[in-house]
Amino acid sequence: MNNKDLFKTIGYVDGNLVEKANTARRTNKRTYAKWGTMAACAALVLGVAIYTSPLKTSLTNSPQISQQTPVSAPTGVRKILNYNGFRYAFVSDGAQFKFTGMKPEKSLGTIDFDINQEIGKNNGGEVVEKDFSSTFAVGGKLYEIPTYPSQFRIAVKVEEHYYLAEIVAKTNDSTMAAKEYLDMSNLKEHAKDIHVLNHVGNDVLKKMTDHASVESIIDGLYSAKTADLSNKEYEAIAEAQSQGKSYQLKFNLKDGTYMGMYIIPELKVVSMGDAYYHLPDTFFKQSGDLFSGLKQEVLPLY
Amino acid sequence: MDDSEIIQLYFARNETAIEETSKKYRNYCTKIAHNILSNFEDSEECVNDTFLGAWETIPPKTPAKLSSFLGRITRNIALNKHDYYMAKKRNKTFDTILDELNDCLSSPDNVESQYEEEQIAESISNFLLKINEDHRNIFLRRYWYSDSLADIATRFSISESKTKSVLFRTRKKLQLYLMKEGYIL
Repeated sequence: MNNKDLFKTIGYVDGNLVEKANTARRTNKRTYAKWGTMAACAALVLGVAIYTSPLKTSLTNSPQISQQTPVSAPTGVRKILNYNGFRYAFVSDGAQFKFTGMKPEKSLGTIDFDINQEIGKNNGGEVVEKDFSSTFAVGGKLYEIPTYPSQFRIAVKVEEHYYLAEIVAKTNDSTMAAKEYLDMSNLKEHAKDIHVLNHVGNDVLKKMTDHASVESIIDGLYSAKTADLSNKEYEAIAEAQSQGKSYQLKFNLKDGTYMGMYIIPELKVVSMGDAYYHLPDTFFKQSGDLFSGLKQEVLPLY
Repeated sequence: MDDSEIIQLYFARNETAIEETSKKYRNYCTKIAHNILSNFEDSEECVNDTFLGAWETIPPKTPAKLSSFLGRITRNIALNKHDYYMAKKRNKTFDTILDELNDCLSSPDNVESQYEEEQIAESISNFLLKINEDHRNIFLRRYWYSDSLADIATRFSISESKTKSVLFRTRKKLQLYLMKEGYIL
C-alpha cells in the first residue's frame, strides 16, 4: 500500500463521521462569531459600496455602467461563460447592471449551451471549453459594450436585465501576456484612480488619484512577465495570502465600475484575470510609496 | 429536496436526479476537488464526472449518506487526475498531504500489503471513534477533505503548529492501532 492507496481507503470511513467533520467548527464560539460577523460586515460593505457608488458618479457625462443588485454571498462557485476563445467571469457574481449614456446594441450571439446541463452527455467535457457555453444566464444574448470594442467586457441580456462578464483567461488555458490583457481591458484609458485594499477588499489602505501616477502604475504593469510558477512559489503565494501579505489593487473606472487585481509586493507577483505575473523591481521603484507600510488584519480564509 | 428523494430519482432513472444533486452538492464536491487539484476548471470537470459516476452507480448502489458517497467519488476522480496535473506542476499542498500519510505506512510503497479498502476503512472508523472528537475532525478535514493547514487552524481556532502536531500524533496513533489490528501497511 502506498500513500495514495491509504488516502483512497480513508475515503471509505464511516459517512456519519465524515458528515460531522463537514460541519465541525472551532470550539471557541465567541471568536468565531466575531470573525463571522466581521466577514459578513465586510461582504455587506463591499456589496453596498458597489451598489451605491454609481449614484455618486452618475453626475459625470461619461457613459456609466451601474450595478443594480447587490453581490450575492461569495460562497458558491463563480459564474463563467465562454465566448470567442476566452473564458469570462460574471462581474460581481452575476449582479445586474444598467447602462446609462450608451446601449449595448451589437449582438454577438446567444448562450446556447448550459455547462451544468451537459453533465452526463458524451460531449460534456468539450462543452466546458465551447464558445457560447455558460454556467449562468443560459439563453441570454451577448452584446458588445460600446466602450469595450475589444470585448474585454461583454453584456449578457436576459429578458430586460443586463449582466456583465469580463475576460479572465483563454478557454484553452494558453497563457495571456500582461500586454494582451491590459490592451484588451484598455485599463490606461478607463482608469480614474487606484485604491489599495486589504485582501478581502473591505478596507481601503491607500489611494492614488493623481492621473500621471495612475498611468505610471499601469505602464509598469505592462512590464509584468507571465509567471510559470513552481510548487514552492504557489505555496509561497498561499502562505502570503493567509499571512495578510496579499492586497487588492482596485482600479476605479470612469464608467463607475472597477477592475480588480491581487498583488503580493513581498513576492513581486500580481494577478490579472486568472493568471499570475512576475513584476520587475523597477515597478516597485516607480510606484513610490503605494506599497510601502501597508498593514492589514489577517482574516481567516475559508 | 432531501437525499432519499434524490436517490429515488436515480432509481427511477429520472435525469432530474443529476440536477437536484448538482443544486445540493455542487459546491460541496467542488471544494473537495479543488483542494486536490487547485484549479477551478479542472475541479468543475471533476465534479461533472462525479455526477456522471453517481448516475452510473445508483442503482445498484444505495448510498447510506449521499454527501460522503459523492465526496468519495470526487476524491477518487480527483486523485486519478492528480498524476496528470502533477506533470503540469499544479498541486503543491495536496502532495504534502499524501507525504504526511507515509507516517502511517511501514514503507512508502509496500506492495505486500494489499488489503480490502473497506475492511481497513472500518478499522480506521473504529480508531477515529475512540479518539478525541476535535482530533477526529481535524484528521478528517485534512485527510478526507484535504483542507490546508491554514484552513484547519482557522476552523478550529488553533495555531498551524498545533494543527501539525495534532495531525502528527494522530497519524502515529493510527499506525499503531492498525498494527494491533493486524494491518502492516
